[in-house]
Amino acid sequence: MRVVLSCTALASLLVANSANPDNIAPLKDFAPPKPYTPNIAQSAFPAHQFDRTNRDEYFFVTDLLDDSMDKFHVSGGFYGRDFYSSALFKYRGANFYTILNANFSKGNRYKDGGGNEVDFGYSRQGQSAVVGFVPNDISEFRFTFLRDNIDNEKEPHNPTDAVKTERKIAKFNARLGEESLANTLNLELMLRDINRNANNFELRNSAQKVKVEIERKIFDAKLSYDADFGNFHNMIGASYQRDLHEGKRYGFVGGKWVFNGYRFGDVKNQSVRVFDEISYKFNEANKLNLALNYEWMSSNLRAANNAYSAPMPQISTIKGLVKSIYGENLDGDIKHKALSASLKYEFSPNEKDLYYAALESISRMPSNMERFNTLYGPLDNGWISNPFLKPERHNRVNLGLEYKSEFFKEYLSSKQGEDSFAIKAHLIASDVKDLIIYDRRHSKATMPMNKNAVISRNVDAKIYSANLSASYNFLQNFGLKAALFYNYGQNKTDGRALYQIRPFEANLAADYKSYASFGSFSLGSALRYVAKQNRGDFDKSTGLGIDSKEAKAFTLIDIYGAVEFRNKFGLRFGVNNIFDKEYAEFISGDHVAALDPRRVNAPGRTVFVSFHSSF
Amino acid sequence: MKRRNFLGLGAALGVTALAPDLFAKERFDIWGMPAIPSTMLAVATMQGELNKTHDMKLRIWSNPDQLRAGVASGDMKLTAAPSNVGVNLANQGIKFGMLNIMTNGLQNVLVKDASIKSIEDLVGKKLIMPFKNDMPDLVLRAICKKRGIDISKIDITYVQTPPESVGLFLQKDYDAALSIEPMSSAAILKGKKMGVDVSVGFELPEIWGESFGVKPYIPQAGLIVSLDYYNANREVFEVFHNDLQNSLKWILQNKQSAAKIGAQYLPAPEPALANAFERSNLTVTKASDLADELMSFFEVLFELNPKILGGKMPDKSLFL
Repeated sequence: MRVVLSCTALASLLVANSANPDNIAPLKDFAPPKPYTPNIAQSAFPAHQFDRTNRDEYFFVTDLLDDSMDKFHVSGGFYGRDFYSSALFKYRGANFYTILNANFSKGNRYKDGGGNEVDFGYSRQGQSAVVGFVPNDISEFRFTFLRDNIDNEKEPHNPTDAVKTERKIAKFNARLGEESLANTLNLELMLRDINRNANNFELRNSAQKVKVEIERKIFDAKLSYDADFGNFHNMIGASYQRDLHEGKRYGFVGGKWVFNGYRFGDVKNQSVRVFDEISYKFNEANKLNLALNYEWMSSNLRAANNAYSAPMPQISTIKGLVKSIYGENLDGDIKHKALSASLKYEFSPNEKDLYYAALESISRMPSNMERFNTLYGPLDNGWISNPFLKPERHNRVNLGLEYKSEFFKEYLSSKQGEDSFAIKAHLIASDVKDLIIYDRRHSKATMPMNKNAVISRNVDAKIYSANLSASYNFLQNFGLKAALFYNYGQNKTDGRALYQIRPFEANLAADYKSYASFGSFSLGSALRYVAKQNRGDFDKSTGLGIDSKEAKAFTLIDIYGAVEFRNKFGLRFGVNNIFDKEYAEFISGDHVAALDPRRVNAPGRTVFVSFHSSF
Repeated sequence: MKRRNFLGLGAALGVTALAPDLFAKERFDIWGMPAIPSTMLAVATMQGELNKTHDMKLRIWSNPDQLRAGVASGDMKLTAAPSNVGVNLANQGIKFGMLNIMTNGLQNVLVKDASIKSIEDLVGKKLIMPFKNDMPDLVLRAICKKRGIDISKIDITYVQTPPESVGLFLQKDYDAALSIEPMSSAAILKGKKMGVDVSVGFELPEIWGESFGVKPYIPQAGLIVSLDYYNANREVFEVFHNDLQNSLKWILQNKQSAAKIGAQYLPAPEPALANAFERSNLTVTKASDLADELMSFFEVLFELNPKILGGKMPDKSLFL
């Protein structure tokens, strides 16, 4: 676990309460990689959407340098043909603090386990700044700015490449009242500005040139008030979001660019939430928690009647295109409202252990991708989302535990001569009403246009998710870690498996850490086993067909190590996929809206070495 | 890898983890005190030569009552303790000796006003501190007496524990707090989170040395040991002494790593520990090499409160 002073500044805006709808993610989220925040920047591995091995969890003694309280931190290294570097400055004075980070990474084509080149790549620069003022013990003000720019992201699984993705996030936080939240007002304002361009000609050869340009601005405001009343704690608040989203597609016809469809038709969403969470502590160990969240959402496609170039006049507006697929008129505002609730019981017999059981009913509003992505397809393709979708509701049981033995502090850190262990587990069983899925139109019409286009719809479903992880420190210098994941998803409406459900996975790691006169060093090996996913959405003629039957079970072994000298500088090194296994992930790459189950193999054997310093 | 192979490898890893220690060693138990010198003990038990031949275990006592009971019952044959405790035990007839000194003073005075730089500047100011009539109080009184400061002109508030003292200092209008490391470093960090500008005004060992014309040392704490145990294992203690010296050297060169090790034993956050090492005057000096300094120090304490040493001055044979 990596914690850096005041990096909570970058936490998500709307993590409001236990009934927060943002706790539910769509089945498939076509989004760029998350920005490198300062708390992870120094130790981060370069983003790679075709390799889901979580190497950030590996143990390196150089993490000590990256996470230390020193003012200056510099790291950089090669990961096969990729490069990543980061510089971090942090300082905390009596009444203010600041964190500055700049990072740069370059992804390049790589060889898979079969020796075949994969035309992958990107260039990425990120900058972030956090400045906080603490005038006294009952107030704190913090400004955060983060920019993430990704250029020329090659997408071998998609007809187009994301040639430009630029995200700028500005945030202001204010706390008036005690840090303990005993009597505290919190305000948060955030502006996200996103620009994304994709095309099929800059990074590849294409006879018919197409480009898509997307702009989005999201403004969030949240106000919450926390107060203690005896054994009760109450947090009440409200938030507002305004989301402006426009995306246009152009084709190069007759020597000029022709506007031929809206990816997002000048969408304007406004959302208001009110929420309350009240908890009651029966005693130090037992707590009951009730959380409520009520949301009103109003959406409007302001370009619904704007014309664009299309083969037929009937579909040359969003309104006409939607009517042709769904048979309904798209007029005026689309409004939704939903109540989410969570009742949670927590038992924490001591500071280390926690057991909880929660009953939750959480309603998630459809995303713009799920409702307003409206591009006709000239053949049997296209993607016409359903603006009339209902919010999905997850009625679920959420059980979990965390247990640490007496001497466990963290992985590979126990008292001298004492073996220790920690276990963490959760199980979520969810019965979902109106789950939002992508599907195909499956039209029997003779006309090819949009015949098998992607649509979105509501279905009922069952989703189970289980995770068990354990850490064991033994013989002073050794550690073992294991993590198991199992997920299950069934579309009850159609009697078929849900798509992109992660297969059973087991991660095992064995590590050795020791100290020496010069500092410390560590060596480790990790094994990742991913089972074959037999239940999937493999067939475009009956479902969405985004899952790939070609993704087989695989086992990877990585070896890695690190050495650090006097807490000042160190090296991290290793070999990933040491047996040069040829494999592909079952969950397909998700940085762009790629729907075809085109297999893209993950990297083969990859040597990495990075330098880390702190001073 | 096939599922059968995968399960086999998992089972093999599990068996390795559960394998018994085939090379049983002689026990070497150490008790540390809940203060920063225990980090030296932790590092030495982890990295020292003695660890190769002995099964070393470090435990921390939580309060003086547990220390006294442990020593009296014989459970604690080797323990860290404030230096006056060794004298006190010996004067009660318990056969313990003073093995070494591990800190030459980790007391300092925290201030909110950076212009307070000496003990004279405390006159007319509000000072909060723990342990009335115990060593910190006696040290302060001795310094004031030597420097001709009327201590009644310092507005002193006494509380029970160091955390209570520091907590009230941060929250209320006290000008200064007499504190110990790593509590002082933790208070400085806490102050930054609370918007309170806290700094170390001055360190008591320096003032002590300046006042009494001696080295800037307050031989505040070290290891005490059962004489029978020590006499039966003298060679082992020589190895342990070297391990402790190497431990100190390593800590000062690897403060972040040392803080991580120390935080396993001490109720202090890692950043505070890392900042505290430099201000803790850590040392590993045999008590016999400091006999004169210790006697001088105890004379001053004895003059102010004989009870703190058990009613009489120690014999030099106490220092091993």
